Amino acid sequence: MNNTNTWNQLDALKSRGGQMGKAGSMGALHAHRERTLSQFFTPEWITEFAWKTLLPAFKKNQAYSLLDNSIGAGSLFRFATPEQFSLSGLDIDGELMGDVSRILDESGFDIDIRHAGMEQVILSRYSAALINPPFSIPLSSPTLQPYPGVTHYGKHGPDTSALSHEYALAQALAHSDMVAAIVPSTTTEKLKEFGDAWKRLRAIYTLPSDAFRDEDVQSAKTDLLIFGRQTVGAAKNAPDVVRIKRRSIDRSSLPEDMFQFVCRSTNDINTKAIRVVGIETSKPVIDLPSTDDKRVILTRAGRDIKLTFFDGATEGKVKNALFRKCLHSTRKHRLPKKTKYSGQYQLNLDVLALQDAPFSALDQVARVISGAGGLPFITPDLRNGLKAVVKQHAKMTVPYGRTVFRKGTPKFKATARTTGLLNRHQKGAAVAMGEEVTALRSSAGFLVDCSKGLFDCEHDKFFSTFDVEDHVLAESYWEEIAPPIKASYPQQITALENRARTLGLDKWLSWDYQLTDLAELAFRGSGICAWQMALGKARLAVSLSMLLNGASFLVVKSRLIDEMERELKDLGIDPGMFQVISSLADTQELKKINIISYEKLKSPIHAAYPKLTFAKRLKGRVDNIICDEGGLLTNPLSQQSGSVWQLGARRRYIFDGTPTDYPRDFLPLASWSMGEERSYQPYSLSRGHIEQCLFLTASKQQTGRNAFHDHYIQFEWATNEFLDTGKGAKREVPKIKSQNLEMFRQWLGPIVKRRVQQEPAVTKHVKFPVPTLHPPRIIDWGNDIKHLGLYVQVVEEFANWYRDYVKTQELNEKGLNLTMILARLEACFKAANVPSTVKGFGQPFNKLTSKEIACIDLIEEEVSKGRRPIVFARNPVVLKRLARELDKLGISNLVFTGEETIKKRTQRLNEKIREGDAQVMLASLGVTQDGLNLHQLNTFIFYNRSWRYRQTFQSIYRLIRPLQKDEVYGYFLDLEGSIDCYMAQLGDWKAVANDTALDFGEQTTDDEEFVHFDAFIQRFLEGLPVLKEQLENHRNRHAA
Amino acid sequence: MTMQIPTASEMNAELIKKLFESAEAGMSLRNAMSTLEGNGLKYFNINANIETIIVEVLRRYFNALCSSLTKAYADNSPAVITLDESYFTFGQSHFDDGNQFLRSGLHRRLYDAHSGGIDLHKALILECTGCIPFFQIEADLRHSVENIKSEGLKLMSAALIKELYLDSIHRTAIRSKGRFLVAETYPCRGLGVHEKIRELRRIDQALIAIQNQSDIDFGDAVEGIIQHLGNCNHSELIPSRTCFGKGGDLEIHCFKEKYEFRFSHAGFDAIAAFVFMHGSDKNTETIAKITESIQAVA
Repeated sequence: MNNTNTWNQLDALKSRGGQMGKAGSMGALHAHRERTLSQFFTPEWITEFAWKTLLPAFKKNQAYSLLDNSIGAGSLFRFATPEQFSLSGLDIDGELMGDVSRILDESGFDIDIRHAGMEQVILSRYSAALINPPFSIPLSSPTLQPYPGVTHYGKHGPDTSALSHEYALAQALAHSDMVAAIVPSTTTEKLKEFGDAWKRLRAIYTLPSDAFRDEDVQSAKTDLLIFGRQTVGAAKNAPDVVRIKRRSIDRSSLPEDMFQFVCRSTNDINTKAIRVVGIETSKPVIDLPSTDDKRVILTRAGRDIKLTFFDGATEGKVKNALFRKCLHSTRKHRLPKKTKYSGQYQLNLDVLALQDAPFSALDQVARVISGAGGLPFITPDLRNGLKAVVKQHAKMTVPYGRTVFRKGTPKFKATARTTGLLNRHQKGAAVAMGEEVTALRSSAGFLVDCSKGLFDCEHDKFFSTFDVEDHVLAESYWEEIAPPIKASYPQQITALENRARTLGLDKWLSWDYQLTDLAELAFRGSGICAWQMALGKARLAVSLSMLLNGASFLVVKSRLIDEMERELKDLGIDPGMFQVISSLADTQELKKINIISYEKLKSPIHAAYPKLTFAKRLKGRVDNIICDEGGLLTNPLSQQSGSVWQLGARRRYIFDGTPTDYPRDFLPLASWSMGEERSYQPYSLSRGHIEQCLFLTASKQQTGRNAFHDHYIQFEWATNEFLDTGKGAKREVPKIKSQNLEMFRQWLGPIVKRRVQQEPAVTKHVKFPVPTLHPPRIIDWGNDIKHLGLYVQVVEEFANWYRDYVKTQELNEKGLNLTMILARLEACFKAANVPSTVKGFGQPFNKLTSKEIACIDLIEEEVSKGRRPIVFARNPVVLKRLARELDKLGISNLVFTGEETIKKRTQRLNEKIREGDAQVMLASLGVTQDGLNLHQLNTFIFYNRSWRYRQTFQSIYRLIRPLQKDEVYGYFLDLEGSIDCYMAQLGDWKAVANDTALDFGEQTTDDEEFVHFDAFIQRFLEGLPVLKEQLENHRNRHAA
Repeated sequence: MTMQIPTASEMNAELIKKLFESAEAGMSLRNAMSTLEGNGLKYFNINANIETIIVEVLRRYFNALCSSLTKAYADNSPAVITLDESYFTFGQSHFDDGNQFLRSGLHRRLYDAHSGGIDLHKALILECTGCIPFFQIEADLRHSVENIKSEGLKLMSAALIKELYLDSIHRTAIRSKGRFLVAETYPCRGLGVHEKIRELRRIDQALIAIQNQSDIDFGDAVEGIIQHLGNCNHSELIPSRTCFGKGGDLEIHCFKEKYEFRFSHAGFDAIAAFVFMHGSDKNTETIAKITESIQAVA
């Protein structure tokens, strides 16, 4: 077939975009794109121009390979000849691919054309790429290759989301020496963000706006970009104006020479076939010879069943019968990485353990094998292995003993305010208006006994439907919601308790709950000890280390190393039994208890070996790990977490009184401590989710993380404010899905051992004061016009930046980067709380702010009552300013910040506060969280709020210690109308969420609308006009 | 003051009074007609026979009584109070009197007595009223009055299920869309406006009842669309994408091929509770399946 004939046939293939007409509206645009695949073929004159631009790089008598990653009708290849060029292409339009392949093949071209999307392939190398990709189709796939600036964090994880034209360009550049690409002009403007694209750019040709009118696109701003290889030699330093040609072109334009423009022939680059992800065709799966031995031996391999075959045919038949069908992730459903076949989990011991009759299920697997012609033989080792897994499941799923605080009484009467539905899962679960019912407390909320029967009702629902007898609301009680593990495993727990006594641990853990919990934790072999502050976690950690077999590591924050060492000495432990690991030499011989800091774990053993960390060095040598303040493991991506994970260990514990800020943070903690993808802990961070139905098929299996989020994490429309604009989006709220709250608590029950200061088992031995939290003091700006003016200015600047940022992100179809927003918001925080550190707004602000004055007044007030307050603030500058003023007033004080070394500041703390009589402590929030006991102080004042609930809570509990003899008072200072008030709302929500997850607290009702961060920002900005008006009024009064 | 249910003796007395009055008036009318015919006027065609009088008076009396009691006790519900007609209607033939209390034989004698005197008519009236089971009627009326509210609520539950196509086997009854749960109905087409309005009124009536029992406010979405249909030309359809009741617990979105009733979750739960409390077993079953499927998706 001659060239003209070829292209005539290809020209006859019409593009979808050209056939379908325009989208009627923005709303229809997405649907239109989906139908047309944004497919618009390239006009011939543009192809000719591009081709003639690239042509000088092709030498005669050399062969080259060309790529088009959205080939369409192949129009970009129209000037190629079969003698010199091989063609590679892909497109998702299957119909078209068939025709194009046939026509090009008949024309004598060497072709490699696939029916696949650009996100589904792994490409080879090509001499040149000519592309006119579909514009603005969002790609979302776990198989996207990462390209900086192009791929983003998506539904499937990092680098799994991109825009089609950007991805096509990046892909073409990554795999080709030269590229001619037609892209939207907006992409040209962003080229500097796309890796080395800008450095390879040779020309920007602006196309006429009606260039695609033959495709029924009347107006489009597009550019033809020409890229070469990276410049070399002296040309590397050529300025852009020399390297890059820019002009508008039209039909009459002539091409020009490009700067240092070469490409390699197929001799130099070995162009291989395009690989479509998910299809492996390279090697045979079964290579056993054919014999008559049809035996199939089923043995245990860890937590899986291994099959041993002796005949290739049997292997094929049995595997087909068991595995049944190949599975692939799709855009709509992402499978875990290791899930390849629908039937593979019949060979997973955890899944078998979840069946109603695990051994019958194993026999069923054997029957499938027999049915496929094999002779199954289940080894005793496998049966014992399954037995062990089943036993382990039973052991690991019995919850830790737990007592929780309940408002109300266990059983009471209530009257339905309205006719209402009690739940959606029980038929007939409704009450009539005015009906009197009896309500019984349950772990999920209430059991309501009404005329229609007995039904579950969640807490929120209950209180929105019923009026409760007055006396009930005033009452409260403690309820044992899970008995001690001893009730289920008396012998095992008793044995552990006896062993603890033999070791003398009962002398350290003299309160009975402590010994009970020690035994439970040792029995479980892993988990989270979430004892509230001051209940003896340090002693418990040490005792657990002594009780467990093998070497134990106590991992603590570096500033607490000395405290832990002191604790061990105070307990009278033989110094030969413990050590602090601070050097490589310390790792030679491990002791019974080894104390190491998180920082040390992640650090290299020697500067010469930066990748050989202490964690790597100690890997495999540790039997037990106890992570103090292990809540930091909620971020699995941090170096500290990475090191802890790397350390490994058979038994793993997290000790932390406030392990999480958000319910979702329990996933990484559970995954590390309990393991992942287990029958008793079915979720995971980056693997699959285990459940009973996997025995039937894995086709719907979710990743562990997705399943956890689906089950528990609440997504709501941010607020109704967004709904009317049509720009609403679902956002996570720190609330557990109400319908699965019970399931969440059941999951968490065997993982977290919780004790709170006020529960009966504790108060039997020690009484802790319940801090009296005064309502926040709202500080008026007063006559502080300068401060208010500065604050308004800063907020306005933030507001302008934020609005532009949101607009830009929306235009580029990208999400908002909260880290960036928070960083910007910091300026507003500083302007409100530490205006003296704000730069760039005229003269420095040095006089005391109204908030500082209010704080000093409050300190004076407390001191005059004989109390000893501690003031928490984020910024040491504030604390020093307050200290100066207190000095003037003759009030003795200690400033305690990270500006001093730990040793030095601890020494001063001991001198002035613990043993001394300084009246006030001024402490920065960053250093007064964990491990610091300050029972000498009895009032806390938060000069500013923290974004983190945990930080606030931990700080308060420095004062709530067993030795605290006074009542503890608490104050928060919020500057009126400022960022303080909004941070307060966020903090409250997080506190409730945490309380609900950990302490069976009650989630707020829908009336209290969660202020998601988006809405928080909006409301914060909406407060600006009010402040401006206030400022104006102040100024007017002042002028008058 | 709510209307009292008449006792058996009150009904008996009142009926006799009406029948006697009617019989006397009928007699006078026949005499007057006879005189007029005697004077040459022959175009009167009024049937004032004693048989007709008794049948009609009985029928009208009891129907009016049921109607009044319905008005007094139904409280805007679609339930109506009715009586078994066998109590006050005549059997059709000697061989097929069925359950009628007024036998065909007596009916025959009324025919035969049309030329008789007023005393005969009154005697026959007393014989008829003597056959009517007033005590039973009173009991039935009391029972109906006691149950009319619940009956009405049951009918409203059924109306909701039917008019919102919640029991359709051809499509998913309810689907989730953003913050709404959506039920679809057929749109109004041309000449079916009045029928559509009737359907919508039934929905509206039910939603008002639900509102009265809960703290949900469905707003004026249904009223809005009814008004619009009432005002539009028969050949016009509601323009596509018209929305009624925006922002409330019920929004109605109109498209060419359907109307979407978008309920808030709280609104739909209120409907579900209403049907559970008042609906028939079949309707309860329907709603239970829907709530379970919503729960599974959530």
